Amino acid sequence: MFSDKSVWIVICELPCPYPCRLGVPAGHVRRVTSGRHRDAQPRAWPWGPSTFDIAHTPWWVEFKQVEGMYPVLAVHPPREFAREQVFTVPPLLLGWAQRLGFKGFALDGQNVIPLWEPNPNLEPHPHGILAKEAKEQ
Amino acid sequence: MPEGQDLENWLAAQHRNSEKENVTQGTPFLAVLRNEHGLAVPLEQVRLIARLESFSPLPGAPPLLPGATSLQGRIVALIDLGPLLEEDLLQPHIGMYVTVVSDGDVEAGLLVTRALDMHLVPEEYIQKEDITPYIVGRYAWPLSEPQKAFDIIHVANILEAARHVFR
Repeated sequence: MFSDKSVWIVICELPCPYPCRLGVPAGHVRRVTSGRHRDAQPRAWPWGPSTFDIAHTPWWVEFKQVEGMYPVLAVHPPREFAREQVFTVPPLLLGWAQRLGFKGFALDGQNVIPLWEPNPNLEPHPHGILAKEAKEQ
Repeated sequence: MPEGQDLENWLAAQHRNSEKENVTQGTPFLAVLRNEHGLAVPLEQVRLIARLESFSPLPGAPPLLPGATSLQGRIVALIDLGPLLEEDLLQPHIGMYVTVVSDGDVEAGLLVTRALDMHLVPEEYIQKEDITPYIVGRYAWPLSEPQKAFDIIHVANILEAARHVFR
């Protein structure tokens, strides 16, 4: 289950057909910064490729438990979700959630927001999980 | 469809048969269209038919699982049958139809272009044949215009495939 009701909403920086919003627990966030970081130690999302171009990344999120800065396109400051707005992962998506670190969903009006928690054991696929899965299908 | 008989003749024969009979018994299916492909979903596994009111992509999910939505207060994963049927992907958009199906405690919303009607199909009209793991039979529905052939989908196999994309 997701560990925190207060959630930063961030938008993944990967160039997918649809930009993905996801929620990360505010209690796990060490710092959110903007702009270019020459000394940035970028850390890829577990669904992304392990290397990527950081030159144009507008925002970065650092977590307390994990080394490195996660790149994001946009951030929205923490907001509270009521208990009835937070859902467990449905059975069909358990494999996806366990592989990539998602702990549940929040409902923002009609919009579904996947809730993600940092985990030092989650590593990205070298070429990105999307590329890997597409090839397997 | 008997081997060697083309679909048009087979449809015509079925149509003639249906006019002679008062069809009151059979297996119920929900008929849907995925683009031009007629699909039949066993009605006992249909939980809900709805218009898509929201669509949220899932990070890292493959094309088979393009996103999730909220329906009647619960989170429903969406399935695009394109990769399983070896057809083009649909572009999920607000207003398209979702057919929520279940098998045991696993449920998902199948993205479809249109939801048509319920078909009560007599057993003798159904050709049971494992065309693929996801299509296990076929029938013609002569009472609809234009006449259409409908492929019967195997809900459990579809949900199983979606469930194990990261196995």
